[in-house]
Amino acid sequence: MSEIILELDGIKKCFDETDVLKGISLSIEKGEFITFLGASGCGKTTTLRIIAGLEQPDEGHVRLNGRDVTDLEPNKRNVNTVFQNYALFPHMDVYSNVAYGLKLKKVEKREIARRVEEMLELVQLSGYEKRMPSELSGGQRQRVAIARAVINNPQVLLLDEPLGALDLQLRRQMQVELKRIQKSLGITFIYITHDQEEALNMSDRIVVMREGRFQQIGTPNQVYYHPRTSYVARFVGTANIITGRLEEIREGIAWIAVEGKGEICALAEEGQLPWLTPGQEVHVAVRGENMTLHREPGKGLRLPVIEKSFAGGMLRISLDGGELGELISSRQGIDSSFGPGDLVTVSWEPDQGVFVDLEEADERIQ
Amino acid sequence: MSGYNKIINQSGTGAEKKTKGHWWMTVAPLYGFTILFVALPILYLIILSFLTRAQTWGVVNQFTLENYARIVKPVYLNTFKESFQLAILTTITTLLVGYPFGYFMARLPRKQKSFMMLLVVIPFWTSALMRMYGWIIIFRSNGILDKILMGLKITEKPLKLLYSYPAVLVGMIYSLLPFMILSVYSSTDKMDWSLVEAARDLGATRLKAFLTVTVKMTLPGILSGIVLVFIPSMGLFFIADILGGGKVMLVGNLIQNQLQSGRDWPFAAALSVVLMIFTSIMIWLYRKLSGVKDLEGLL
Amino acid sequence: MKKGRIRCSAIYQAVLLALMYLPIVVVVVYSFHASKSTIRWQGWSLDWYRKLAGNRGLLEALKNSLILAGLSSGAAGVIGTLGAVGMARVNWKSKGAVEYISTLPIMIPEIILGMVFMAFFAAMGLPFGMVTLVLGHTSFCIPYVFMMVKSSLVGLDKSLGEAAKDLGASEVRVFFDITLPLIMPAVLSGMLLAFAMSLDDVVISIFVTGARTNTLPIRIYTQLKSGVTPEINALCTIMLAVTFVIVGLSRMLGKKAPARG
Repeated sequence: MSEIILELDGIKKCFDETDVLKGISLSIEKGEFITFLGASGCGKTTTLRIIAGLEQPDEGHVRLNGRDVTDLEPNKRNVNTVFQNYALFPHMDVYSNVAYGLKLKKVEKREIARRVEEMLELVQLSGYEKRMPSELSGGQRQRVAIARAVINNPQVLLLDEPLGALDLQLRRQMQVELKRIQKSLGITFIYITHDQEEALNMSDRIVVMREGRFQQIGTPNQVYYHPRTSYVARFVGTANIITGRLEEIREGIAWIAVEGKGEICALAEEGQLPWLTPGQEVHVAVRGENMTLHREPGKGLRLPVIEKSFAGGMLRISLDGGELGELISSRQGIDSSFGPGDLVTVSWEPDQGVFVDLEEADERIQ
Repeated sequence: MSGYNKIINQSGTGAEKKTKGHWWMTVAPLYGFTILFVALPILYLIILSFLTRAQTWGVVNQFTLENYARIVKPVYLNTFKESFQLAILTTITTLLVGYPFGYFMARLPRKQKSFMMLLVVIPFWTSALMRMYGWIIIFRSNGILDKILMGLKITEKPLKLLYSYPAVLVGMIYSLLPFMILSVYSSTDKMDWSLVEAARDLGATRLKAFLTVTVKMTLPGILSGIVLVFIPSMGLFFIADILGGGKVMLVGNLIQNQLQSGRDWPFAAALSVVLMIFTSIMIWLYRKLSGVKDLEGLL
Repeated sequence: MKKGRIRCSAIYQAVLLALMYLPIVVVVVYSFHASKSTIRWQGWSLDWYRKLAGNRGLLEALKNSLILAGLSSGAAGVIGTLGAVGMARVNWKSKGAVEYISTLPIMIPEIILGMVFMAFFAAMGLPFGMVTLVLGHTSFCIPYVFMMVKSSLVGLDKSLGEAAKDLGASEVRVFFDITLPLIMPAVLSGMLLAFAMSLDDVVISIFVTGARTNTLPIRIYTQLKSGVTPEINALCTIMLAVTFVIVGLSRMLGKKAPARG
């Protein structure tokens, strides 16, 4: 099962003196659904274009099935792409669009017809052969784009924010659909998105990218519950980052003093222990939905409320953290007795606090 | 998404390094034709303007500045002056007449707009000579215009308008007006009307808003119209020929005379070079002033 | 108040349009005139159309004009289209200069261009006639096609070509399968424009034509200077009808009707 299909080895790429990719390496297994997650400009699209062959890296190698394809033209590699804006040929009908790749390979006419029919069935567009792309809805165009790529039996399918242009409801529906198509074909999917929910829903593995580097590679679970850096914690599921001084570690729970605000706790995992020494400055990530607020003083941080607001059935309470910046607590429901100016105690279960590496200039992402 | 687009754009230059391969073959004909049949001939013209005219026929390969010195002679200088006067008069009139037209056209509802466009473009597409012939019939002594004017008892005898300066001016204005209209139209059409509304909202009168906002916003169109009218108006010798009957002498006519009857090619070349320099200066000024590379409304 | 303003502008536009069409209408009307004189109206007839059919010289000139326009706009179509597509891809330093020079023929006054060609062809020893005419006309036809195609390429989604390559197409296939069909309207309307410009050109033709090759505009021009027979009116009227068809076609091809410039 764990057969490596695609390998990126020390890829570097520079545009107009800006380093877009700063040496990334990754091995992708056959049949995997892997997602590159990151804000726009992080280099994820460039990575994809290098894999597709639409771009040449300045340094490093791309290996497909063990063969070095770095300098191979896109039409010579068995990789296909679903473009962000679908890039359907506007002067061809659905049938011709989907058949295009096979036609180039000089596949026999009857065989083409059979496979196009099969593909359209897979993406649930049977009967749309004669339609022009302009006569299709966004979701339908999306399906044609997928069919057009998949019909060539690529070893790897690249998808560049394929759902970006669809509305929320359709996006959710297409996520399920994509996953189904991937499962039934067993093709490796490399998926690009800036939407963390999409990444968490669909992927076997997520690669969080930032400024041309990988921040973390892991399963959705790992990335969500054990972010390695403050960036990942904030980008995937928006977390608060609190800086303090480590006091002691008792029974796997670390206690951290935050100057003038109180004391907080975090989970100290086996692997982290060697690096944690009392007195050291540490950063803890806590998700807003895991925070509990009390009126009474107690263990935790004592902070004043700035304001509260409602967003999508969630109640958000902003707290003034002084040098820590603004902390945001969120929870289900709309009722809350706290109001601006109230002093509250913020605390959480020890396993909800995660040590992370602080990324500089993190604020920009927010 | 801007980041994405940026990458796409940048990728163009990146991909070229690799895919350039055979692209030269597609531009080769353009390069070849342009160099051989545009650049080279123009270069030859410039060289020709420094050569000496042969006694009987043809050119002697002997360097001289005589041809340029001759232009300064009062006879020829006067032709330049007259040409300029006519060109300026034509340009100003087309601007005054064409601006409101282009402006109103841009303010029409969508459907009427494209219909109006069609109406403006059609005469533009008909043979220029045919239209000049129409004017001949109109201006001719005892022609349509005279008939109407005399019928209305405005004049008593034929005006003899044909073969006169006014006839040439009308012909020029008539031929070049569409350039102005389309230039003004295309920049007015692109204008952000909310700016005018904002100016009005801030207390500007209708006139003031027009002068401070609209005119400024449509300036590229005005400038490009001026260039598109002014440059050809110095060279349209056949209008002066047909409607002026030899009475109006423009630089274009001068060049043509030197070529065909005078047979003094080096002098004609010198005249052309001077005219070409004027043209280049105007285009350069236009680019400088409007910051636009291609002439507005050209296509 | 507002209504009054709109009516004013409508009247203004109507008057100006009427003036623009006046000379054309005059020519058309007189093509059906029973007499050669334009002084007094003497009734309708189709005489001039009949005479036109028998006028060898005029028809010969028309034929020449059509051949000339066809050849020049055809050559310009190929050179201009390939050039515009290629220019978007190559990254040479000389690109800007060549592009600028190639558009000069429609920027500088026609008379200069005529003079330039006349002097150059004479120096090259080329015999004046159809060849020189085609070369001269092609030079000012190219910019129309080039600029039309260039601006349509700007609007062309780059990822379409990439998608085709991704699906296995070579550069040549991308050009013929994707690029060319998509820019075809621009190519055709550029060529139609070039065709019309060539068909109408007097100035350059006068300079580069030979003694034995007459084009229609040259013939009309010489007749206008000497004496007009109303067969010309009839011919102009027919050409006008043809123009209507061409404008209509180019309208249908491109959303934006190209203005001549």
